[in-house]
Amino acid sequence: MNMLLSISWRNIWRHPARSGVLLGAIIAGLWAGIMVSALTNGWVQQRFDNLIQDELTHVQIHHPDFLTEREPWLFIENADEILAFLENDERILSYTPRLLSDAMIQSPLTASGVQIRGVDTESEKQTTTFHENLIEGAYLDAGFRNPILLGAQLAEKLNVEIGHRVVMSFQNLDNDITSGAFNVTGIFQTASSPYDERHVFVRSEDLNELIANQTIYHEIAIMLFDESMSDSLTMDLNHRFDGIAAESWYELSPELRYITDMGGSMTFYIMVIIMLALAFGILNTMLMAIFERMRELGMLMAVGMSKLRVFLMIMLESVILTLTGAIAGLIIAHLNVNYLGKTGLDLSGVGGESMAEFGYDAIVYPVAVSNDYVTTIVIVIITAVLASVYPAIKALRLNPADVVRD
Amino acid sequence: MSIYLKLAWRNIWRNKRRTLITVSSIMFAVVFALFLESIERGAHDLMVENMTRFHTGFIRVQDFRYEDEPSLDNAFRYAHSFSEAIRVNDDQIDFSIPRIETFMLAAGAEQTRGAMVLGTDLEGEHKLNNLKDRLTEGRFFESGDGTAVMGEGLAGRLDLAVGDTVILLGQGRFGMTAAGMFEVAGLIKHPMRDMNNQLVYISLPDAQWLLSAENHITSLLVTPTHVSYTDAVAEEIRSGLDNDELRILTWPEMMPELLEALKFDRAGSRVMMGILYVVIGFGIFGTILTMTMERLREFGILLSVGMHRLKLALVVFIETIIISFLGVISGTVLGFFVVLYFYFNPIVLGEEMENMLQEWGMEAIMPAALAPDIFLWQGLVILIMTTVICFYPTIKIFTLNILDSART
Amino acid sequence: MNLLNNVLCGFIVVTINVSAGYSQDATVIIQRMEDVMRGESSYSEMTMKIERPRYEREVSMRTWANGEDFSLILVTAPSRDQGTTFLKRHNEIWNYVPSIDRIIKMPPSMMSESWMGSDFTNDDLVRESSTTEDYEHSVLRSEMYEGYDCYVLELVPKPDTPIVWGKVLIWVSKDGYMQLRVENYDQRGELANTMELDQLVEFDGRTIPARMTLTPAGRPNQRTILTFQDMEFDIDIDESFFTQQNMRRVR
Repeated sequence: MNMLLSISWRNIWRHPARSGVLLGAIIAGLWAGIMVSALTNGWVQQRFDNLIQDELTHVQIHHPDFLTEREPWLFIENADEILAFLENDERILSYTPRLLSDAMIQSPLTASGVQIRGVDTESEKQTTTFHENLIEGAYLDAGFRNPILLGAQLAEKLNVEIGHRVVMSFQNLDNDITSGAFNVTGIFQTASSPYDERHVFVRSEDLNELIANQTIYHEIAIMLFDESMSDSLTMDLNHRFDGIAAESWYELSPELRYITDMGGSMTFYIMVIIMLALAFGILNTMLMAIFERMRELGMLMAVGMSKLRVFLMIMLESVILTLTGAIAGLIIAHLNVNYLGKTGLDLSGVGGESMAEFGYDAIVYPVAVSNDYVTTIVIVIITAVLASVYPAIKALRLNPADVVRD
Repeated sequence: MSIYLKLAWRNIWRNKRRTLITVSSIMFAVVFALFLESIERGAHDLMVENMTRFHTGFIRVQDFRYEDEPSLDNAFRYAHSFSEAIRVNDDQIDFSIPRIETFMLAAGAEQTRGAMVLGTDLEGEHKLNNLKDRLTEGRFFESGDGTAVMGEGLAGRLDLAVGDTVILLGQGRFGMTAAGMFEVAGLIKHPMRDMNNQLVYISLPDAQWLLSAENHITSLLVTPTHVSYTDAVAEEIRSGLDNDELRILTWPEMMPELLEALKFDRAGSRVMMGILYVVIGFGIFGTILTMTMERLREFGILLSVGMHRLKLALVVFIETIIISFLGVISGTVLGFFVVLYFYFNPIVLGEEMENMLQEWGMEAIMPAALAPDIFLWQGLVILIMTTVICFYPTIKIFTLNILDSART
Repeated sequence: MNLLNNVLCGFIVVTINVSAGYSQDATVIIQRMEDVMRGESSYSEMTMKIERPRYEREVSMRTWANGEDFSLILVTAPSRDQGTTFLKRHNEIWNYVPSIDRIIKMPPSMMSESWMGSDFTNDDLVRESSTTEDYEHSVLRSEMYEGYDCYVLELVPKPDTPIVWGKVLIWVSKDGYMQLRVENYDQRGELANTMELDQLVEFDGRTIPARMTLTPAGRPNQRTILTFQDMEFDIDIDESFFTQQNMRRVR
């Protein structure tokens, strides 16, 4: 065995070009495999984050009838208790309570129906990234009186700009209609123009003052450390507290789920195809390399090397090459992923630039998890070794005399 | 010239195994590239189709004032001849749906809520978005029978059940009062909560009567036989209409955010495609490189017996080009069958997706797109890639040291 | 300035809380202007003509009002809408439609919709613009308007008041303190709409403009014209008149 090992070792170095090609194919394969999975992870994650961090969040709590009826008196009655519970739950990254109301917004030009979102400026900023959608003016915490943020479409429809006053009318807890004046401090733009036309943002305390004489919340939005915890958290919340409904993001927005799942499945199949291509590339190179050596192998057998030993020698060579290539590929891929993980991969060049205007990031940050490394290494090693088994067996069937003559 | 061609041809078949491996590496490269893009395009087309059918429809004809002021005052005259006119000589149009859409009050015995009233053609709606499958109770209306089908959410809010009467109150065309009583014939469950809480469907003739808008509609939804005909059909309608007060909107104009999301996805797919090219490029390069090394001895001998380097290089180049063509052509043929298979037998997504999408009236599948331009482009890209790689043996011949090669 | 509400309540004036003003002159003028028209209750017959680029429509109605909180409107023409009534109680509106024999309360979501196709919204019916601590007012100048020697008053809403206008200009005749023109401006200082009051007629012992024309700026061929045929002041009517039962009965 020792002798075989040294023969194999020497064989590898006797043909630097051939070994180089094989190493190259394996390194490229491994790099590609890991890059693809890391990019896919980063991609799916980022796409999801883009969509969820804006406003939706992982889990939301409402009065069970609020989303259907949208009446102001359907607020979360035990909000204090729930907020205290959320504060101490380890799954939770951040949370923010909101006050919601349907309203009519008026400008000198026209009136329009909108949904008001009364937010707690501090915790909202920690929980969601909505403030990044601001394209003009200042966020709600800039110290103005009764500030309001309008979508670009709505501002245009109402023909108002920053510094102007708008009037909103809505129902209070007693079912009376009350009005309040708000000052436009900022204009936002999200990826969806219908959304921008129908939603306005104010501070929850300003809205609260007009709607009720006690502090109330209609919605609590929660971001988790890990999305997969959303089901267990909603279950816990629904179990522990009466008179509320906690729902995860995919129950709240089946549409978002469709988009993420569809995108996720597609990238999965793309990855499968790339892995297959990778396996074929290695297989072909291996086949070619071994057929090239038929003459040499025939020679070895002609001088009396047993078939088993020839087979073992070929396999050993493949294993050594594959392992070396795998380690080198792993290091390169790891460094590459780490580097891109910091700088990001800019997609502006391939058509991602338009997204930036809509608050999406055109830069993808690959994320490699250990699972991807393992999967890729296993795929590469198995293909490489399997690819050498077939020609090795073929070599066993050789008639040494024929080969040498050829 | 023909002598080189003959030589090259003979060389190719002299070592069938070697040729086969090289051809197959190119062939599979083509198949993978084709498959990847077809799947990607297929999934996107399906997504566009699903979202479009669900939300806006593909092409919408409406009065140019309607977009800014979606009121019944901006409805337009629609007679049977109108739909005939846009259909003339056009096999790219599948069907069209005349619709009246307006916001009204819906009231039960006690409660009153705002409602989105849709007067429409039931069969067309079903063809567009499987409306009939959303029915959970009762039945659908017949044209003009004075009954309504409403979202479960709205019915619940108004405390109405099948057989009860819903009152619709609002403003008709040109400020006329619109008020009518409709028997609730059935309930539907719309997957979007907002819609489920607002929708009331009545038949188009009923809506026209209710809203004093006889022979008028607010929009005509035109569905092309394939999503890719959208622009062509829109253009044809535009030129076929003699009414310059009408505007023709297509789905990218109506749902720009979907288009943006798709662009984002496309950019990602292009990166994946790039990685695939690296992988297959290495695969092809590996095989050609090994092949070249295998033949270095042969080249050395040929050169040492006096063959001109240029001539040898030419022969080998012709060989590799022939191999490339063989690979690309066989890859395109095999790829065609693979794509064809997945076109007719789409990849089925998991059961979870299936359950969710059923509610939306969509299928949880991912079909491959069958588009000639994909074959053309991918074939071309790989042909160029292989041709570039094929310069390697040619260059090698020019730099070959005869003595070294004979030793191996 | 909520003119529709004032019209329906029988005050064809802009009511301003006198105590809030800082300009004595302007305050006195507005006070006089209010006195010309003030009446606790009223009855009127009027026509509303709605002009649109593509059509015209005329609605005739009778209205009963008691203070600012109660009014009842009965539509008498066109025949398709005859018998339709609107009841305003505080800030709620109810609508009775005889063809379906139902009384429906207008939900908040419908408040921004146009009232009977006019340039007024449902909200204009109920908005309380009489909470008049909302404006600072001053006399801008005197000028001749339509043959009348007029004061031109400028009203600027105070901060945080639920008023959309940037400023309001009012023309009041020096003789008789009649309000003849109102211009509402947005916060850029651009004209948003204009109300013209003309055709002086004596009703029930008071001379008032019988025609009001509301013209939104920037909308060619679009306006709403209210014309009074008859008007009575301080009629014998109380809260019990403004009930849902009466919505069906009133003729």
